[in-house]
Amino acid sequence: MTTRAPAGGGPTLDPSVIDHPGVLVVGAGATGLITALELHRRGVPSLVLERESACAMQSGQCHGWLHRGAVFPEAADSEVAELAAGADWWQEAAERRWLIEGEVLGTDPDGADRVTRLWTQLSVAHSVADLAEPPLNWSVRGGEPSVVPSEVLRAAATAAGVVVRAADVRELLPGPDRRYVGGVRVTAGPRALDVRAPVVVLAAGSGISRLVPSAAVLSERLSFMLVVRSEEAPARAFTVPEQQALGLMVVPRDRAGRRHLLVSNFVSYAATAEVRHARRAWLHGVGATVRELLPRVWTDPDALWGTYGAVKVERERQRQLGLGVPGAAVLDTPFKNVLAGVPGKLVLAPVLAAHISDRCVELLASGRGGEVPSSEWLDALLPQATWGPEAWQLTPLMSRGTVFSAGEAA
Amino acid sequence: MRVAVVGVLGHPESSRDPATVVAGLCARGHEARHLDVVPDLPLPTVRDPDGQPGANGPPDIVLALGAEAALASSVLARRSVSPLVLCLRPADLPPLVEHDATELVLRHLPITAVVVESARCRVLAATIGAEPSRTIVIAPGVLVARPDRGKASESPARPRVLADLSTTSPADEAVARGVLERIATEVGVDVHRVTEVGDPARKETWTLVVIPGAGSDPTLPLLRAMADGLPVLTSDTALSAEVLASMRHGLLAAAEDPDEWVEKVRYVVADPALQAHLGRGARAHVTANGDVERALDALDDCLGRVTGAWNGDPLSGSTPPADRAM
Repeated sequence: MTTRAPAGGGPTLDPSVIDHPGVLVVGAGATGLITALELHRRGVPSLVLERESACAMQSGQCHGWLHRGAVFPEAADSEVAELAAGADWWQEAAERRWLIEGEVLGTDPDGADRVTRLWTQLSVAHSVADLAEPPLNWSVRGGEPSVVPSEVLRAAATAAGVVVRAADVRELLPGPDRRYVGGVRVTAGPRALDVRAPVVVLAAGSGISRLVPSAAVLSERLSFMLVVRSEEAPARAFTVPEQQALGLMVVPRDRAGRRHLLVSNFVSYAATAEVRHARRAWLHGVGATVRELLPRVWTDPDALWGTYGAVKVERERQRQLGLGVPGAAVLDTPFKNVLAGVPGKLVLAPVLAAHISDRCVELLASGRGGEVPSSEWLDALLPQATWGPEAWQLTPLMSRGTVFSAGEAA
Repeated sequence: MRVAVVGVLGHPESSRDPATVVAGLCARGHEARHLDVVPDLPLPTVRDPDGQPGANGPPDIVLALGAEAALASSVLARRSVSPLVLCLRPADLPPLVEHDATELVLRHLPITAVVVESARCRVLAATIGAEPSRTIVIAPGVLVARPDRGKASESPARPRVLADLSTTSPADEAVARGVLERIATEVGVDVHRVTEVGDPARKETWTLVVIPGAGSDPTLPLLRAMADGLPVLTSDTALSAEVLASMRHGLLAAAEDPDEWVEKVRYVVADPALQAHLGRGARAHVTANGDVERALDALDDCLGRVTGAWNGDPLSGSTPPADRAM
């Protein structure tokens, strides 16, 4: 026989069960945290459960670029509108503190027109200028900044009182009938316990398949990020979306007063690829691009370099566009009270989160009420989740020769 | 149930150790005893290391730890009409195994179920004859001791690197020693080498644990270092990647690139925050997924299901016993 903790928490007679009246959110990346924020906005309590550190996986591995269409000129108007909605959410949440101005650069004279066409339609403020930095000869500023996701979300979650606890969600609990789940079973250190709630949101990226194997097929791609520490690093973020540059994207980060760059491109590999071989091939390509477009960084004798790999998760049929609009981002699950989704792009996480939150409100409309577990009660069972750091902060930095040893451009 | 655990001692306080498995199964209510392998002719046999002449009644199930225990275990299982569960380690499987003995074992001995340590090992075992429906994944486990609170904030005045060569293959030793010499001279750290599993130096305070060599199985040294909350650097192999996630639980370096080893050591010893992050992540990961008690629970479950199936109990849904993967 089990007994529940008294309302408001306190010492329990049964430390193996937590009852929550709202939404369990599995995963404290951008999708999970923004979902919790959107639920908070709608007056719905939530409990976010995270196995690792908050914003440490995909959300801590990305460069935080807020796409509005500059690198997706083939996007449909509806998709661009979704991108704009997501970017607006991030910009508002960042409150300028964590916004990094971004530029789109190029060599093709017609390129600037393609980039600005959509921004003009959307009335996004921007300016075009000629550049005299061969081979780059034009620049468009103002449309697409970048953010530091973990900083933005940590501040927003803290301000809203979003509850994020450390726990490894192992399985879904059976519900009153086979169409519903009753919650999740978690382990927190050596302790196993059940967390029951009327609605569960799976925002755990590649971890979704482990919990709901029958969910729609997720596509995983292996990509890499180059990290450079150099006094020659520019302070601005920029992208060169042209094919010759392999879609180069550069974003600065500062740490302990030293400038770092995060450098990525559009080249990715099958998630099953041999990582070392894929990394070597990727470095060969990105090295040539960096040497051409960031020559002072490339030749800086004091620069230190490193790489890390990241597996990106998208819904399978998103691959054609590389976008994650909510209609495609929400995954089918066999349970009426389990919602799942992957946004595909960081900028679309708010759009997906809003969609999921609206569904949660519908599901809870006729649901049970109840007390939200107190902090003291949760403290006794689930430790507070930690935050970050971002992947680049953990990346060992070495000499250029060591990093590019097998693939260095001659 | 009565369980005969056949294997060679040598991996203390881990799920690969016969003594640990026996103690764990006894704690779970079974009668378990360890039997040594005796290389008799014409067939190897088993012997109670405590000197008792034979098994105290036939076992209900025979558990063989490692391919080297398979033949003797199968003889015992056959004589006692008991099911045989064979636990294979990565070193028993390609590409680390240098002979086809494991394949002969899998294809020709009456093995009821095979236990491997990862999904990748399951695939490898299938390529040499293990039947997939009878192959179960149970991640290995080590003893995760409570942290010594008194030492939590200690850090050596001069960085100290522990080089664990206990599993480094002879082919990798020369390269490993060269790398360690460069680390000591170029990074300016004290490097202490251990080659024995039970070396008391492991209990000292270290800044970083380095486990070189790509031609061997570093699983247990990795898990032990991670359980101690130490940052680790090891060779970038498929096997290492199963134990730790790079940059969350430790670091990987290309075995054939000494420069990378030297530079990564230099980077880690210069960053106490990174050391703390890696150490915390490593210990949390092993606590959640590599604890020996969790592995023994999974093994207990596996043995129960196999024994039940042997005695005619239907397996639920006719699916294999549940995997317990890291």
